[in-house]
Amino acid sequence: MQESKKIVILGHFGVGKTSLIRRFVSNSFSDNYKVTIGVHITKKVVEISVGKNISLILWDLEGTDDIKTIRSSYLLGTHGAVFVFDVTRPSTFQNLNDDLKITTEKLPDVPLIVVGNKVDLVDLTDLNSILKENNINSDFLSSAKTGESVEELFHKMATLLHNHA
Amino acid sequence: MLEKYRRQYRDHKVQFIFVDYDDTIVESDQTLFPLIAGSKLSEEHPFFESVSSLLESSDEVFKFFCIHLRIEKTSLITDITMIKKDEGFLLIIDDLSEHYDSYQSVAQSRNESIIKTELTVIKNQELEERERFKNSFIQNFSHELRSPLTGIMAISDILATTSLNGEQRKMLDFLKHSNSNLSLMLEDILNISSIGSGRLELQQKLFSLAKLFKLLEFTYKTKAKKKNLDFYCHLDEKVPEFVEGDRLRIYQVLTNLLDNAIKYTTKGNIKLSIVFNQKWANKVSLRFEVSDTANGIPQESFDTIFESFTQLNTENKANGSGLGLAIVKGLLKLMGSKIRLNSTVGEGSVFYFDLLLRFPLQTFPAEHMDNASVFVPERIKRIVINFAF
Ligand SMILES: Nc1nc2c(ncn2[C@@H]2O[C@H](COP(=O)(O)OP(=O)(O)OP(=O)(O)O)[C@@H](O)[C@H]2O)c(=O)[nH]1
Ligand SMILES: [Mg+2]
Repeated sequence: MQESKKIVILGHFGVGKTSLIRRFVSNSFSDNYKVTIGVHITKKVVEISVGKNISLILWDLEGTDDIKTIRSSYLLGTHGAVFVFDVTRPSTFQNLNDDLKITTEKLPDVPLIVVGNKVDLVDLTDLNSILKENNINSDFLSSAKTGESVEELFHKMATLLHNHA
Repeated sequence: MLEKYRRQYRDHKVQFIFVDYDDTIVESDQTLFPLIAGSKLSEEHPFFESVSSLLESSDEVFKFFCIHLRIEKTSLITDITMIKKDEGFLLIIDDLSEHYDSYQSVAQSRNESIIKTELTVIKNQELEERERFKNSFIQNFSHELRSPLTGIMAISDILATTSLNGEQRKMLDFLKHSNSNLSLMLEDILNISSIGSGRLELQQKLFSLAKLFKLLEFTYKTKAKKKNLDFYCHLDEKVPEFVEGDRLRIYQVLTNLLDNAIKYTTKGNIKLSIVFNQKWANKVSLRFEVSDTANGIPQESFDTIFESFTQLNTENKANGSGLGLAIVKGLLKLMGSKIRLNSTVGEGSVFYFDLLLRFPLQTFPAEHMDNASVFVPERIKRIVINFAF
């Protein structure tokens, strides 16, 4: 059977977790916001090198502004985590470093990718200085709307997981 | 009500499935999803694929809440329990769609309203930031412009003392007139930006309203005459002679309104009146009114004419900064009042506002007043000098 990996997508509500997955899996986007409750699970096969496929099982979790409240059963058997924040809403990244610390405590030894989403809405120079001010390092700045960095971030995760195993 | 909850929490449907450790469905009732014995469970939904590895752990029971499952054409929101047995594991799927749907609508409106509030706060902060930047930019820039202007004015004054022929003197007069216009405009700009940035503070002092009125009457009668307009004045006799307030700013509001009236009126008359509204122990409410017989202002422009840099009649732009009414609005706001307007297109306009002013219980003879009552502020002096004499 194909190698399959479970990835959880974490972050505050409304940051674009569902939208990123939708862009990645079905290459579509909607401006409407439908709040996710519980978890939606989808799957996508990614080719990481010629002839080498890995299947990503994406757990799109209900957003929360308190990462501690995430049900631990959702995290069981997780191989990789993506933490998404919204670059237009400081409340979703002001405590990012604390949130990431809690995440790594909950998911030790699991590759973690940090993504600032909705970059289509901001000026990149302004954004970089805001992120610097808040001492934030993100791995990707993405837009589910335009597709910017979406493929790359999941691909990066797939590669990390393949090497990690 | 209980019946509704009973249906949500207890009356729901449950499916039981037994699966062996090779992921093959051994037995399943078909209560929720059509799962056929002999098929692979993990191929039915990725949820099962990602939890199958858990069976290798030492735990016996796993419980998952609020899992969205879509198998064949059935979509449900479920709680799923996995219990390890010797020959395989038991799956119990509870359909709690109804319960979770109502939870979803609650979460939807909660999240939407939180996000909306957050974005509104951010937007307001940005607007304020921009406004502050604009005001300090204008203020600095106008200050910078002042010194060369003062230089030009000083040189023009010196030039006036030299011997000039008629032509040259005419040109110098024009130069001086333009200078003082420019200086007034600069002052307007400084005023509007200090109002906008909250830097302007009102001075509450006792002053003679009657004298202020006389000064306005004198100035504008002359100005009106120059344009062949009539100028009428009315000071209600119940208006106290002395009141407490910011004389300079009240004067500024009225001159802005009167200047505007004169500017836009080509025939007919301008009228200034101060009317008594009401009196309390030591306070009085007065209505100040400036009316004209200009073209009038269409209703749809009522709000925009009080915004900065809006001029109704763009052909007239050369006269003044176009900030007059914005200054009026800003100053009156500081004084706790509001400029109002009645206007009929083709007939004219009435601008008016009410002020609540303190007044002394006994009247002060003029000589007891501090110099403020007779002192003519710099700007007023200039206007009087420029236009009245
Ligand atoms: N402009 C823009 N809007 C986005 C982007 N990503 C998401 N959105 C919008 O943001 C809103 C929230 O997106 P979702 O994907 O539902 O957010 P979520 O993180 O899944 O939210 P929860 O499920 O409540 O945790 C939606 O209105 C999306 O259309 C983006 O990259 N750019
Ligand atoms: Mg979502």
